[in-house]
Amino acid sequence: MDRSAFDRIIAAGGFITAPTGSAPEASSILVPKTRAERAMDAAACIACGACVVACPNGSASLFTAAKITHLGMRPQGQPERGRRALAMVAQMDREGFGGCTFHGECQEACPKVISIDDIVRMNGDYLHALWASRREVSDPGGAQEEMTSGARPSDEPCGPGDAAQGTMMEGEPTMIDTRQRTVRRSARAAHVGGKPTGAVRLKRAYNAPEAADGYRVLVDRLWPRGVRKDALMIDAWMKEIGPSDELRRWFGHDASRWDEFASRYRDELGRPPAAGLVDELVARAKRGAITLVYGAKDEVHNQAVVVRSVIEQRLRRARARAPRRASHEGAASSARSRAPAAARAAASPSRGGKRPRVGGRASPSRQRSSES
Amino acid sequence: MNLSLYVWRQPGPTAGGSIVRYGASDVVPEMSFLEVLDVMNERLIERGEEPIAFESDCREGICGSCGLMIDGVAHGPWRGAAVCQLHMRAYRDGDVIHVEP
Repeated sequence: MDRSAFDRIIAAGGFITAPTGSAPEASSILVPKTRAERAMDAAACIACGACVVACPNGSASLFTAAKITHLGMRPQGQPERGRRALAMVAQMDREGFGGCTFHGECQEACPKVISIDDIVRMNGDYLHALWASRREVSDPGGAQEEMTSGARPSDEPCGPGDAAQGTMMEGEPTMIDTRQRTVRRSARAAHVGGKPTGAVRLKRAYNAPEAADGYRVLVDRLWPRGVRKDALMIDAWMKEIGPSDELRRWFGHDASRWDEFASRYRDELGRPPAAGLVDELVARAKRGAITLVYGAKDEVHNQAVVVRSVIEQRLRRARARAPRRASHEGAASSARSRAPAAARAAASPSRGGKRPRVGGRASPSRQRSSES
Repeated sequence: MNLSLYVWRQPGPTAGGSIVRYGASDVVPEMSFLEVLDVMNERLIERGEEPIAFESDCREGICGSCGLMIDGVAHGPWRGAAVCQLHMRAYRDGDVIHVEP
């Protein structure tokens, strides 16, 4: 039987990075008996693969959990505990194993009687590490605080090993790819303190909606083929903002006609009824994130790209006018906007240095506190 | 103790396979399951047939090589034992056993 997938999961994190010297004095690090027993029970796993064979989902969770528990229950395993859980679970997913739904078939088949309690432990380690790394990413100043506060779901105390716990967050998180991080951060911004203003995003109708999208508006004249009405989750369908049938047919997504198309389409956007809709989108973009949804396969040459550039041009012009009126416009704009002032302060760095900061609102310390 | 074994035979990884019936005679309860297969293979080789291919290494339940499916269960009927630790006292005379990879 080919068990190389298991080897790769082990290679991803099933080890302890520690200098190997002579054996330490046995009583210098006290390990409770129950904890030592549990680590040894998990260490009994022989990686035979019976758990995967028995699992209706083809999940390798029992195997991975046994390794994570075996190393994570001992003092030596603490510094890398979070990183290990993230890395091994990520590798398990990459290998194509299924997810665990707690059928319990694995522990029945296991020749070493490993318990699915270990899977619960694995999930706990994984979630905690994910939470810690997310917090570090979105709040770089919080990492220090976290190390001292020791806010983690602790099970039994484990002597001085636990003191090393804080270091597990160092240099992390490498396992969460940047795309996930960006999504999570922007989703968080939307959740915590209003949406970042002035953000105009483009998204194909075939890509999944996210919280960070903000106001989703379909800018196609025709409904994207094969997408269910409720699946698109749009706030508005601006049929009239799409290019005229005549222009659309002439363009036919031919990239060589792009420049001419963009020019003619800009003209159309300046005339009613499209012009009114552009005004509305500009107004919404000032208040929060908007996402232009379109169906075209070409993500570079499509009308949504033109609509966005028109909106962004209008936003830039509005901002260029803003500094002169900033002093007396401040009160008016905050009354108009539903976003709390803290959110706008947080979003202000994205406006570049064009606008003078009002009342020192965006000082680094205030900015961080408003994001966390 | 005489047993009937239905064993999945397959000439190669890409070749088609089938279940083949073998009779295992003179099995004693002290034998391990892998030892039964060893004895059957000796007889197959004597007859000039292809022996049953199966993996095994430590034969003491710590290497995990011997992951056979016995009667549809990984490592067979004994809970907490690998195939190499499964002894024939788990079976009675005349039992029919299905063995798959």
